[in-house]
Amino acid sequence: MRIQPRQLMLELWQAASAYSHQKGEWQFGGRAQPNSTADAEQLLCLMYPATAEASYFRLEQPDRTGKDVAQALQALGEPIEIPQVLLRAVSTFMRRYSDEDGLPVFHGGAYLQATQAGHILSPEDRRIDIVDSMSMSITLCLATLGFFKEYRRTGIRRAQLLRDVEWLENAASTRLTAAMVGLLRSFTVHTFSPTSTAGAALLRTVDQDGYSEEQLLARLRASLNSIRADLPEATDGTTGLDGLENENHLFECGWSWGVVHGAPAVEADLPESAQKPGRAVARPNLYFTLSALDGIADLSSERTRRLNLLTSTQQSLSRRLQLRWELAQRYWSAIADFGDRRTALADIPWQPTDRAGGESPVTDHYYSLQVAGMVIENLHQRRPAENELASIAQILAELAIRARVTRRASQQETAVEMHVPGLEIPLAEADGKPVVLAWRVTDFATALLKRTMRLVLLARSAELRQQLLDLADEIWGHVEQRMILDGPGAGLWDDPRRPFPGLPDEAGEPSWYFTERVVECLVAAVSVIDMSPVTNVAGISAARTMLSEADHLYHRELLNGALNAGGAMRAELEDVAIQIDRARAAVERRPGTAQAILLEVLRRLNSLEAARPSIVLEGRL
Amino acid sequence: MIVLATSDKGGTGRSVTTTNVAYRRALQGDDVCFLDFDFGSPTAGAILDVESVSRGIKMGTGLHSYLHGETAEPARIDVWRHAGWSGRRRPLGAGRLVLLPGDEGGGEFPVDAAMIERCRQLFLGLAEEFSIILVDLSAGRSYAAELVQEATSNLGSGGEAVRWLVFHRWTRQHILAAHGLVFGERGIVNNGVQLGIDREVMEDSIRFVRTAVQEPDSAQLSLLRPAQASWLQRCHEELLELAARRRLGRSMMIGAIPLDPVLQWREQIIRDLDVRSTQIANPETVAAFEDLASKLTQQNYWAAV
Ligand SMILES: Nc1ncnc2c1ncn2[C@@H]1O[C@H](COP(=O)(O)OP(=O)(O)O)[C@@H](O)[C@H]1O
Ligand SMILES: [Mg+2]
Repeated sequence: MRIQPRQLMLELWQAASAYSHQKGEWQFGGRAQPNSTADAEQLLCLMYPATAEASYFRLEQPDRTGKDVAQALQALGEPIEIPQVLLRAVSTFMRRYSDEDGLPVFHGGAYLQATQAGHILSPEDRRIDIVDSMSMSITLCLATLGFFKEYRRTGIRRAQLLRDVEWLENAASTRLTAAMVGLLRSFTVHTFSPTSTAGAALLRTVDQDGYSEEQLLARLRASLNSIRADLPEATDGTTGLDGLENENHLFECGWSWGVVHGAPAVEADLPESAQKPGRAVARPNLYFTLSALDGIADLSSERTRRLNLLTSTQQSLSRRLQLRWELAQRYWSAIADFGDRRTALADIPWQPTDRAGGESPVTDHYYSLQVAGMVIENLHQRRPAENELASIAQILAELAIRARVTRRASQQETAVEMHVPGLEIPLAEADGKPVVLAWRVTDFATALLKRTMRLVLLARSAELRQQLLDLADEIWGHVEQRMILDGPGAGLWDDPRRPFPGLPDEAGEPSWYFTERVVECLVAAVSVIDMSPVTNVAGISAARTMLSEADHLYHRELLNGALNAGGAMRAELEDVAIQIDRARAAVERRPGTAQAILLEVLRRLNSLEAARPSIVLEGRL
Repeated sequence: MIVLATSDKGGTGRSVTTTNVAYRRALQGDDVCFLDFDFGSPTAGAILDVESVSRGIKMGTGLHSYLHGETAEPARIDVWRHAGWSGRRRPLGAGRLVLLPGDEGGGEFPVDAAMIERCRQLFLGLAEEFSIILVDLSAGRSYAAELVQEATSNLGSGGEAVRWLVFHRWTRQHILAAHGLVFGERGIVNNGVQLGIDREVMEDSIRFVRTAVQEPDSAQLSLLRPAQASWLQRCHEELLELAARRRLGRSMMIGAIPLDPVLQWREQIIRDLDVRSTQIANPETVAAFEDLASKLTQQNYWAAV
């Protein structure tokens, strides 16, 4: 792997902190006007690595902050000041994204776009809660709760500071609950007849082996049967479950773009008024489903458990979200897996069951990538076979080529539209109201890199691992080219004009949307490096053979009375013994290292032997 | 402000650092006086290069004699006038720099109430004249150290701020020793509490100074073999962790003085010309002295988070 996450992360931190902390204060803002998603992303650029499972970028214990880390964050002050800077910044965020009653909001704000060019969105339009914001908030709140829990333990005692920390912890916990409730109420089941447009699209997706429509329907129903049976357990906050009663209908499940119209309230420690009626259509969208999954994954992380970050109500909410998480993963994995000769997932690009009018077909590749993401997360739940992983690796590589991430793009190529302007998801509302709002998705390259990294974590063979790392390097090469070089956002992202020449100049302001995703990729790269190197049976067996030969020859030297040969010889053999012990310890986990040590040992033992020609046999006496 | 310089072990660099800090602080324009309370081995005269008191003062007029009531006023030496390197004149813009030397052949002694009172009076008097009073205590827990802690704990209302600098080298034993000196059962903090000072106030008034530090990435270590560098970095990380656990971490540290070749070979004041003209000393060393000198009076470095 050529990606060096520590160095890259610190460079990014340096740029992000210099941009975000000016005149002694945290400044929200970037390419888009401040909004609940972008501001969370901006904070997460620091908070996410600082609270990741691997502790290289810790900030909450100033005594343990690395020297280079401290240097990179000089713009925030000295290491001792950094937790307080973050405290103020995250507190501002919490205050800013609460309504008049102090209840958390997840408004789309400036990230929302008008479906029709020239249409100006009203402030009312922009005050609509979005799943992306909820998911980012879950990640941010968990990071915050863990960060300040550990910060408390450093023995802070200034009364005002303790009060401020407590205030933030309460605010973060309330926001976390609200985000979880929001996600519960955004999960939905969509049922449709096989003869509807959606039905036809789904059947077309699973039609990989040329079965008749009846056969296909029967097989599809059979493979979704258990999911269909389990879905009714997910009642809290879920819309659309009654549609499942019609056995003839097909269904899909996952997250819509926001709280679904008619979604029932959920039992939680939240005032009734916090659960406003929803507006979103009761139809899952792949992007938002995956976005929700990313937040939910953090709820069940090892760290969340270890630091005991959730209240009992939140634990119960988390269990309910987990159930939906599993259902959605199982559902989309089952569809993706359809087909004997070729899986539905490999049939690129994926056809969504619902397509808006103006959507460019080339952006369908997003759906392939999102389904692949879901399949990979599903594989993390079990020990997948290597060939399963290999076929997904191939799909990711193919997507990288098609998206012109790992191939040069020619001017005006349609593939560029996947990145700029990206996928536009119309935010359809219930009852066929005219759609005015859209959500813009432009994270193809970083999503691809993140999914590749997640797949590397599963690979057990050296070949597949290397192949995936090579792919990751290539994708990173593309992402790196998109770093902003000049202007206020220098060192941050995203400037796609180098890989995709001919695009308009979009000022030098950073996109926190993209930059936060780059950060996630780097954190994923850290976890890849943190795992122990992959080994294989052949390597271990070769190392064992060499070990036994070296050990044997060493003992023979001793038996020959080598220790009588004086100090030089004794020192040599003592060291050889130490090296053999080192090699023995490395055989299982680092067979390559063991072999390298043993080669040297064998050479040294041989030179001792070579120095003793069989004088008698050569007849020179 | 009274600054008490102490260390658990001898040879940490306490005297050399404190003297240089006093010099820097006077250059920054403050009136500074330096009290050599290391009765066992008074060295301030030598470090400041005041020939007549290089091993303490001879006439029985030093601090030692004053505390014993043998002289009404301890002798004072104007460093600007008497130091060998000085132009016999106070540099432009500098404050006073006055040394109160110990007695030659002073030695340790048991403390009585009269001594504590004399010591208290001495500090009260000096506080009116000087903005910074630096006191070089002896290593470890000594009579002199207890005397000063007791005398300064009770300077009356509106009393001077008292601050402690605890010096230690960057090794395992030094870290453990410095921890014991401050936080141990009979350590400075508990002593202060017994003298009626709030534990938190006590802890806020103590900061650590690392001396003769060689960071693994310093230029001087660039000639190490890779294996040595690898080992050294691991050692350094272990010390960082040890220091954090023993509450000597970054948040309790107020200065780190790099190892300097000049100081390694000779106990002396480093002047700007040693850096700029002859270039025998490192600019980082002077920067560290200046930094520590100015942080002495910056409240935010002396407040708990
Ligand atoms: N920063 C430094 N770099 C190198 N040597 C130093 C440094 N500081 C002090 N020394 C040397 O360490 C020795 C002990 O210093 P000293 O100030 O006498 O210690 P203490 O007063 O703690 O007994 C002296 O030789 C001194 O010159
Ligand atoms: Mg000394």
